[in-house]
Amino acid sequence: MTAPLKVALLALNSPGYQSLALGYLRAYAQADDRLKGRVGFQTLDLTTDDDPWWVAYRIIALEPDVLAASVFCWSARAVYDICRIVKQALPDVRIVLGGPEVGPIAAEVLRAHPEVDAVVRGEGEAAFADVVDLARRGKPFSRADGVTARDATGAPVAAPDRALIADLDAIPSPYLAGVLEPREGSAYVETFRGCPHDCAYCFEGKGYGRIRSFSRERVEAEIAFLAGERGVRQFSFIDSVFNLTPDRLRWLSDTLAPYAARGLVLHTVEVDIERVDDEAASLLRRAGVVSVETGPQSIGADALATCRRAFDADRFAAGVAALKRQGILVETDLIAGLPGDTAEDFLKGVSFCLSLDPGKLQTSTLHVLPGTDLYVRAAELGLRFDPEPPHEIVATRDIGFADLRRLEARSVHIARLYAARIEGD
Amino acid sequence: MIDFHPISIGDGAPCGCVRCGLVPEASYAPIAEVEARLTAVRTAPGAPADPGSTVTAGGVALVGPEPFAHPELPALVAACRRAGFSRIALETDGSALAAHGNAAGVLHAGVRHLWVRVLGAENATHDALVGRPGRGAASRLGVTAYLEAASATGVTVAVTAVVPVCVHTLGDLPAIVAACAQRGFHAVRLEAAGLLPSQAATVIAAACDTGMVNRVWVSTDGALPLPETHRLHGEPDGGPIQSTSGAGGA
Repeated sequence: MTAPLKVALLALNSPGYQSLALGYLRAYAQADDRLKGRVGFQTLDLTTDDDPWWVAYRIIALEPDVLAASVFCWSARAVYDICRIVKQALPDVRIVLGGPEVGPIAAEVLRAHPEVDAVVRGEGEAAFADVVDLARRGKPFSRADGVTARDATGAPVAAPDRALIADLDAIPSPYLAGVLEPREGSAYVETFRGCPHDCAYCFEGKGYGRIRSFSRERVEAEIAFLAGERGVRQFSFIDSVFNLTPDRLRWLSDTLAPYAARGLVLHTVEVDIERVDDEAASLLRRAGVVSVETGPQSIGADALATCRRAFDADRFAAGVAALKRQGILVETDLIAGLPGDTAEDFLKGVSFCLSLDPGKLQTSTLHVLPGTDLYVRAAELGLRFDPEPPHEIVATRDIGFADLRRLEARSVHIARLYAARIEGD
Repeated sequence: MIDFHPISIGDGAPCGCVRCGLVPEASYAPIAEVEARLTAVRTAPGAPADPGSTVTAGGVALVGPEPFAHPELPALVAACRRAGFSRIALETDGSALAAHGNAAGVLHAGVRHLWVRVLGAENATHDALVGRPGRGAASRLGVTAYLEAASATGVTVAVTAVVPVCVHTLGDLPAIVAACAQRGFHAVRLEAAGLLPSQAATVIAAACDTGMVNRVWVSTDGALPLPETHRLHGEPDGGPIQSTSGAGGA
C-alpha cells in the first residue's frame, strides 16, 4: 500500500487573523475523489510575528511531500525565507505558492526563487487540488490549468488559464467540513467573490470578471452553524461590499438579526458609504454591525480619476451621518501616494474625514501591488516603488520620498490625536 | 487639524527657561472662573451645540501654571467632561505624574492628552534650564507611568513633548527629539520662545529629521523659521487654537 502524500499548508497572517484561504484549499482538496484516502493535510496557520526559522523547523518536522503557501504582500518575504530553508533541509519537497502576491507575477517569482516549484495563478481551489493530484502521481505541475511551473530545464512554463469555479457552492465550507475552527469566538464569512468596483490600486476582484455568489442556503447554513452551534460572537465579513445591493443587504440583515439580538457583532464590514441611507444603516445595525470600513482613499480629483473611483462629498457625509445615528463607528481610509495626489490633497482628505467625526481615521501609504493597474502602469504614471514586497511607494511625480514619509508620520499622529478621547460618554 | 481650546487655570507656566528670564510665580484661578471659561468656549459664536460632534470643537487644554499644583484639579477635569469635551489635555512639566496614583488618576478622570514641557535631552540640562533640580528625572518617570497606565487599561492617549525654542534650547533640539522618542512620546511640538540666531532654521530642520528617523512626529509653530523643504512640519496638529473667543485669558 502506498503511503499517503503529505501536504503542508502554510499561511502567515497578521497577528490576530486566520487564513480562510487555507480552509478553502483544504476543504476543496479533501472533497476531491482523486485525493480521498491518498493525501494527508496539515495546516500551519501562523502569523508574521513567527520567526521564519521556527516556522521552517515546524514544517521540516512534518517531512511534507508538498509545501503549499498562501502569499500576500505582507507575508511574502518571510514565506520566501521559509521556502529556501525548507528546500535546503528537504530537497525533494515540492513547493507551491499561491495568492495575490505571486499569482500575477508567477514567472518572475519562479525565476527569482529557485526553491519554488510552481505558482498557482488566480483562484486557487481547483488548481491546487489538481497540483496535489499531480504530485501524488509524480507528474509535472505544468499539466494543471492555472499553474505556472518549471520545464525540464527549470524555466517557467505557464499552463493555460483556468476557468473560474462557476458554482461557488462546489467549494465546501471549511467550517462545516471541520477543517477550520473559529478562533476566540470569531469567524470569517464570505458570501460572494469579486468586486463591483475597479479601483486601480486594488487587487480585489481582479481577474474575476463578474461577481459570483455562494448560494443563500449555503451562507445561511454556515452562519447558523457558526453563530448557533459553535457560539461564535463575532463575524468578519470579507465581502468587498457588504451592501452590494439593497436586496442582499436586507437578506443578510434578516439572516443575522436573530443572532445579533443574542449578542453577535460584525466589525469593520466594507460598505459603499455613498449608498448608505437611514434605511440601510438601520439594516446594518439590525445585522449586528458595530463598525464599517470605507473610503474615500482620496478626495483629490486627479487621483480619483486615475484610480477610477467615484466620490461625492455630500453623499459620503450623508452616509457617515446615517451610520452614526445608528451608533455605528465608521473607519475612513485614506491612501498617501496615489498618482495625481499632492501632499496638500492628502491632507485635505484627512481634514475632510475628520470634519465628519466618523469614529476612526485610518491612513496608509500606497502599495503598488502585482496584478493591479497601478503596477502595470507604474512607469507611465511616474510611480516609483519598492519592487520587493510589500511594494511600498517610494515617490510619485507629485510627492517626493521625504514628504511621503512625513505624510505617513503626520497622519499616524493625527489619527492618534483623534482616537485619544473619552469614549461612551 | 485637531486643535484644542486653551483654558487658562491661572497665571504662570509649568516650567520655562530661567536663563531667558524669570518664570512668573504661579497663581490659580478658582474653579468657578475656569468653568466660566469653558462655558465661553461652548457658547462662542460658531461653536456647535454639541462639542463632541465636531473634531475641532472637541478638545480643551488646561494651560497656565502646573495643573497638578491646582488644589481642585479633579474638579477641573470633571468640569471639562460635564461641558461635553471628549478630548482633554493637560499642560504639565510631567514630574507630578510620577507621584503614586497621579498617572492612573488623571487617566481615569478622562485626560487623554498630555503636553509635557521638555527643555533638555539630559536630565541635568533640563533641570538647569528650568531651575529645579530633579525635575527631569521625575518627568521621565511620570510620562512612563502615564503611558503604562494607558497601556494597562487599553486606552489610547497622545503624549506630546512641548519644547520652548530659545537660544538655550536650540542647539540641543535634535538630541531632545531623540530623547523624547526613546521615552515614548508620540510627538514633539516646537514652540517659539524668544529671538533666535540666523542658523536656527537649519537646527530646527535637523530636529524634524531626527523625529522622522526616530518615528516621532515633530511640528513647529508658525513663528519658528523652517526651510521650505520641511513645510509639512510647520502646521501643528493637536496644539492650542491660536485665535479663541477670549476664553483662554486669565
